[in-house]
Amino acid sequence: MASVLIVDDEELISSNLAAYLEDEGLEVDVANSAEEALRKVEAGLRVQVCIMDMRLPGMNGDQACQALHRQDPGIRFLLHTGSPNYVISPELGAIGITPDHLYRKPVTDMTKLAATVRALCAGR
Amino acid sequence: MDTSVDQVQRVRFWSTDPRVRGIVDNVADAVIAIDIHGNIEMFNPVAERLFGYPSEEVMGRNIKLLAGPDYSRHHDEYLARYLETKEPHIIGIGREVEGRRKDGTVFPIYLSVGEIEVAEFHGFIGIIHDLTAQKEVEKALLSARAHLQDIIDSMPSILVGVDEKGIITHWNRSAAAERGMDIGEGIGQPLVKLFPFLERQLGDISGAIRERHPVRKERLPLQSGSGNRFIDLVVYPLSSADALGGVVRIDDVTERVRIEEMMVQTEKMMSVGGLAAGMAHEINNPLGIIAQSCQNLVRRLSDEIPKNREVADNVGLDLEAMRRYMTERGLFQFIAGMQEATERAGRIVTEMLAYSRRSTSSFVPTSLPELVETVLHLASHDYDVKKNYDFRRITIERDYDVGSDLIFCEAMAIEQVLLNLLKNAAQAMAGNPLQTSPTITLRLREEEQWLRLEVIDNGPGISAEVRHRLFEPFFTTKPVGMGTGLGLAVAYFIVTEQHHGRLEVDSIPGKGSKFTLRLPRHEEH
Repeated sequence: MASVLIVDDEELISSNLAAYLEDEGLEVDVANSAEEALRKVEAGLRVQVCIMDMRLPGMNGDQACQALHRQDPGIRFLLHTGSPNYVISPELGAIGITPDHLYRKPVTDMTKLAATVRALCAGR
Repeated sequence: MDTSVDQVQRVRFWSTDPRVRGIVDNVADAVIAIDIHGNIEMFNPVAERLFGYPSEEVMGRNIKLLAGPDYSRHHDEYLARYLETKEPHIIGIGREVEGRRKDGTVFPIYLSVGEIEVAEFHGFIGIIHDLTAQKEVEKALLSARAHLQDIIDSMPSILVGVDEKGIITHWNRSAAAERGMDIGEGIGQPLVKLFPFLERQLGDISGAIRERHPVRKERLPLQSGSGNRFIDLVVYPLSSADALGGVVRIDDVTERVRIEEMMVQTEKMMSVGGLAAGMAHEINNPLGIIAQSCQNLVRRLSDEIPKNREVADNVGLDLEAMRRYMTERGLFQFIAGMQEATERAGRIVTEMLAYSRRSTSSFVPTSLPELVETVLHLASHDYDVKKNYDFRRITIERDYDVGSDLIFCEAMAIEQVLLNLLKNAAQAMAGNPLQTSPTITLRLREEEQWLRLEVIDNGPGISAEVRHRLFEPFFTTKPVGMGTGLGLAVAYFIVTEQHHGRLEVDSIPGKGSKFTLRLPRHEEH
């Protein structure tokens, strides 16, 4: 079963994404911070796709993606940010993140986001 | 002439008394004595110099010889009248008259005349002072005064000189024009009578004059028939005059105040941009929550998801009945309403962000006619059921008369401006059912340093009040939810701030509106 990890400090955002993706038949886990996500992966959580909020307390989304990538180079990322001027950093570009993987809040319709998650799970 | 021989032979007291003779010969003014018939009996050296006659040439001759034409004509009458009535007109008084030299030139003199009856002589002594130099000074003074008046008249400011009591001593043409009066009429009138709006400033004005310290008051609001006006008032105390007085300067700054207000407005818009970037993040998160919660709500009522059916069964709920209930009680509409409101709020955030993103804009050489075509193409696909207008119903007339020059602009931004103008026109015309042939005319012209684009519609037009606020941010005439009130504000910002162009609106209510966009033709950014 494909597994998705949602990292967001807004609980209502993670729970809504989780609900939608679970209804799509995906297995979903949630972390409220970058540190928690790293602990979970460290503890053996298998993650195919990580949906990462970029502005987080403590370690930010950018650093978190890089750290998770070091832990498990197989993890694919989908960036979910509320900052309208956010641009993908060269470091994240280097680990294969493209504008197709960037979603700006508010995502009022999650259909496309879910499709992107599925595509990432399938390794496309 | 016999008489002259007769006269000359008379012995007068001034000839017999060397002291009198000494005085007469040495005073600085001309001294002439005549008998009661007007015949000259004495003519001193200054008189000789002044009139150009040697004294023997005028002795015994009538004084009319030395008088200017007007005076000369009536001199006999004057003399006769005086001798008869003894009523003095000039005797003992003196006045300005004209003298005539031997060479015929006429010149101004001051003539004082006294009647004398001493010893055997009865006649008149005249003392004559040459006024030529004085008159020239007077003339120069007058012309200097006229020149000064010219100078103050050519000032666009209203200038009023007042004394310490606030009585007008001078004023210029602008001041007289303000009152609709002739320039001569105001002098001597109280300042506040002619400029009642200064009533409340009177304390400051007289204070400035008394303390000899200038007072400046800016942007004083005035209520007048033609809407609000603003003036700048400066009172300059006169520094050199012995008497107290001052000059009041009034400038109508209504136009400047309006422009300043517009600049403040623009600045406000700019800061909206700065604020927006920071706020957007905070707003976008909760917007996402609302929208996604709505989506999940609807989806978790669906039969298609096995988990929904499973949980419904477990709690003994008929999902189908639940959905019917929700439909009948309008609950789905409430949810749709929330989704719609979220999208709207999201759009407002995005439009506000248009400002902050502008800084990284790029100007490229652009053909305006091509740009207009692009936008028309975009607009033709913009059929909006909700907004109740159909662009395909509108006739587009193109009236282009421009060369092939390219202009530097940020094409996307100008497209946004034009699209906004076209949509507004389309919506306005849709709101005017009386208009059976809605038409938008696009007119392109070169105009001095500008490329001018006019967007003219034959819609319902715009009232004056709306027109004045049209470019204000968050000002909208559209029904709630239809417009953000930012479209034209952003357009104005893009055109004036970013492109150093102009965006203006004209409208005749009932006939239509015209938006005029001017972009500089030769500016590179």
